[in-house]
Amino acid sequence: MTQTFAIEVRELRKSYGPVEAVRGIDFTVSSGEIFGLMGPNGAGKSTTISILSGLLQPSAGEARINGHSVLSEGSLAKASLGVVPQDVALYPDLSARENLAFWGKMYGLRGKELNRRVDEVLELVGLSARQKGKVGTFSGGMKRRINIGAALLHRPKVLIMDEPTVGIDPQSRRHILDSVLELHRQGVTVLYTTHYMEEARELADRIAIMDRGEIIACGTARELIRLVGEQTRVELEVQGKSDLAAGDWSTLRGVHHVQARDGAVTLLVDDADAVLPPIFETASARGVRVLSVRVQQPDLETVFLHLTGRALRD
Amino acid sequence: MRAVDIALKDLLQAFRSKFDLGMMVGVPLLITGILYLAFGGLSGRQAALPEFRVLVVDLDQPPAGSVDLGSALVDYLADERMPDWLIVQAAATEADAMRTLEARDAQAVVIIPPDFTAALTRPGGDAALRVLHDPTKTVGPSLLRYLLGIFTGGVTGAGQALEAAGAVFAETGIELDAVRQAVLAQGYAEWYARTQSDLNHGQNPALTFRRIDLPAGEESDLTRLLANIMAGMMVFFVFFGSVTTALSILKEDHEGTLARLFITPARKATIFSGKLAAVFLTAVVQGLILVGLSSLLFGIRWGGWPWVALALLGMAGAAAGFSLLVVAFVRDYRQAGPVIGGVLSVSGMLGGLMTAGFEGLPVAFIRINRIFPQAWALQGWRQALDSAPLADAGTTVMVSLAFGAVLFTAGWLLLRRRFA
Repeated sequence: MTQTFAIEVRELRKSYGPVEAVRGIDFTVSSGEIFGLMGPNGAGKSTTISILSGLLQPSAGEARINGHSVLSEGSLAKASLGVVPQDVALYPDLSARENLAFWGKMYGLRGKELNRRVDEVLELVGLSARQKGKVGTFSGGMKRRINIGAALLHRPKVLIMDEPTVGIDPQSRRHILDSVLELHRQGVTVLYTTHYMEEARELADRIAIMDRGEIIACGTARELIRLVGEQTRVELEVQGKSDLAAGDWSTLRGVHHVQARDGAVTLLVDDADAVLPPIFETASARGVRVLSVRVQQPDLETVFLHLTGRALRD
Repeated sequence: MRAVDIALKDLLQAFRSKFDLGMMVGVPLLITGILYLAFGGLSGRQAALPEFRVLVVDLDQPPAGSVDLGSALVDYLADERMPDWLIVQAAATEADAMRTLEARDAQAVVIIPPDFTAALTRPGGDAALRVLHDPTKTVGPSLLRYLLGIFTGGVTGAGQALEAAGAVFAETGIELDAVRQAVLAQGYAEWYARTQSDLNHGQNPALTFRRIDLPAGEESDLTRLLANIMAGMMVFFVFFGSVTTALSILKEDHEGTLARLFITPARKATIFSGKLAAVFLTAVVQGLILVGLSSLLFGIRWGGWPWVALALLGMAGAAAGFSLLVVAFVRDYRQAGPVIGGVLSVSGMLGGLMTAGFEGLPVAFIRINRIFPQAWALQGWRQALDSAPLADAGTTVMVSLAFGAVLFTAGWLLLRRRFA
C-alpha cells in the first residue's frame, strides 16, 4: 500500500522557451507537516507554487495535492487547497467581511456556514473589530492578515503560503506566525516559502533549499546545519581594498569560503578564535581597516552560503 | 452560482465607486440638463428672444399745419404694447446712430428721411425709410421689417383714403383744402391705430393668439429634442459604463485577484461568464436609472414597458459584446484609459450618438452609423420614443444582440488565448 502525501511532487519541470525555471524537482510533504521552501529570488519557488495551485501547467512531471493530480483532477485538488499569494490579492473597495464572504462563496460556502466561517476567520486573523472597514484603508499588515484569512475559509487540508510576511510590521508578522502555528496544531499541512531563515527555523518541520530551479538540500533545520559541519560564519565590515584582503583570507588555514561585497566580507571558518588574529594581520598589511566583526554560529544562512556560494538574499 | 456571485460583486463595485457612478449616471443627465436649461426648460418651455435695440433717427420736417408722420412712427415703435424684447431709442444724428450700431450697442438703425411726411401726404408722393442692422441678427430685423410694414401700410392707406375723399369732395364742389386734408388724415390715422390696437389688444381683440397646453401624453418639440439627445447620451454612457465594468478583468489581472480566482475551484468559463453577466447587468441597471431619472427630470416619455424592455435588452447585449472586445484589445490595465476613451468617442460619434438630436443628416453618415452597435442601440430608444410597431423594435433588438454576440465571440477568443 502506497502512502498518500498531502503534497507530492515528482520530477517536476517548467521551461519558458530555453529557460528552465524548475529542473526536475522531487519532494513530498506529509499530512500535518509544515514544510519550508527556501531560496533566493528566481530560485523557482513561485513557479513551483503556481504549478501546485493550478495556475501553471508543468512542462513535465507530476504534482499531487491530497492524492489528486493538479493536472487531471484540478477541481478536487483545488478544493482541498488554500493558497496565500505573495502579493495581497483582495478587493480594496470592499470591506474585510465582504472580501472574505466573496472568497468563501468561490469555495462553495453559502448561508449560515459562510457567515460562521467568516466570523471564525476574522477572529483567527484578529480583525473582527475592523470587519466593516474597507480593505483599501487597512495597513499592510492588516491586509496580509485578511489575505491569509481568505485562503482559510473553506478549511483547506493543505495551505500554501508564499512569503506571507514580506514588508510588514513586527506585530503583524508575529500574528501571522502564530496563526500558522495554530493551523499546524489543527492538523493543517502548510507549505511555507520564505527567505527569512528565522521564520523557516521557527515554523518548519522540514526545509527544502531551492536554487536555480533545483532542490539542493532537504531535511530538518538540524540536519541541514549538520551539512556544514561545525563551520562558523564570520562577517566583517571593512574599509579599503577588501578584495585583496579577501583573496589573502581565502588561503588561510581553517577558512572554507570567502565572499566579499560592498565593504562586507563573509567567511566560513572552522574556528573563529584561531582565524581572527591572522585576518587582522593580513588586513593591516593590505591597508584594510576592519570596522566591525560579527561571529555567527552555524545556521541556515550558513548552509545556503556553503551550498551555493551566495547569500540567501543576493 | 459562482458566476452570479462574481457578477454581483462586480456590480457592487461599479455602483459603489463615486467616480464610476458619476460618469455612468450623473454626466449624461448633466449634459442633457444643460441643454434643457439652454432651451428654456424652466421658463414655461417657451424660448425668449434676446433683446433687440433699435435707434430711430427722425430727420422728418413736416410741412406747417400737417401731421408729423416721423414722430408718429417713433411713437408707434416705442409704444408700451410693443414686445418686451424691442427696445426703441431716439438718436440725434445718423452719424451717432451708426457709431452705436458699429459698436454693437444697438442692433438696428431706422432713418426717417426729411421729406417723409411731405412726400407721403402729397398725392402720388413717395418716401423711403432706411433700416441698417447687425448682419449677425436675423430674427430681430425680420420682425422690425414687419412692424414698419404695418406702419407704412397705414400711411399708404391714409393717402389713398385722402385721394378717394378728394374725388368725392370734387363731385360735390367742395374744395379739399389743407385743413380738411389734415382733419381727414388725422381721423384716418386714429382709426388705423385703433384698428391695429384692437386687432391684438383690448377687451375684445379681433385677432387673438394663444399657446395651448398639449394634451396629456403629447410632447413639446423641446421635450422631443431632449429625448433624442438623452437617448444618445444614455447609449454613449451605458457603453462607457459597460467598458469600465469589463475593464475589471484587466484590473483584477493587474491586482492579482484574477489569478486568485483561477486558484479556486471555479472554472475559467464560469469566471468569465460572471464577468460578462456583470457587464450586462450594469448596462441594464444604468439604463433603468437613466430612463427613470430623465423621465422625472425632463418629462421624457420613453414609451411603454415592452419598448423600454426591448431597447434595454438590445443596448445591454450590444454593450456587453462591444466591451469584451475592446478590453481584449487593451494590453494592460494602465494603458486602458486613453485607449478606451478614444475608442468610445470615435465609435460613439460614428454611431451617431453625438448627433442624436439632429434631423436631415447626410445619407452617407447614416449608412456609416449602421456599422456601429451604438447606432442600433440608439434606434431601439428612438423606436421606444415613437412607440413604433413592436415587430420593428424586435428586429432592432435582434440586430443589436447579433452585434453583441459577434463582438463577444471575438473578444472571448482573444481573452481565452491571453489567459490560457
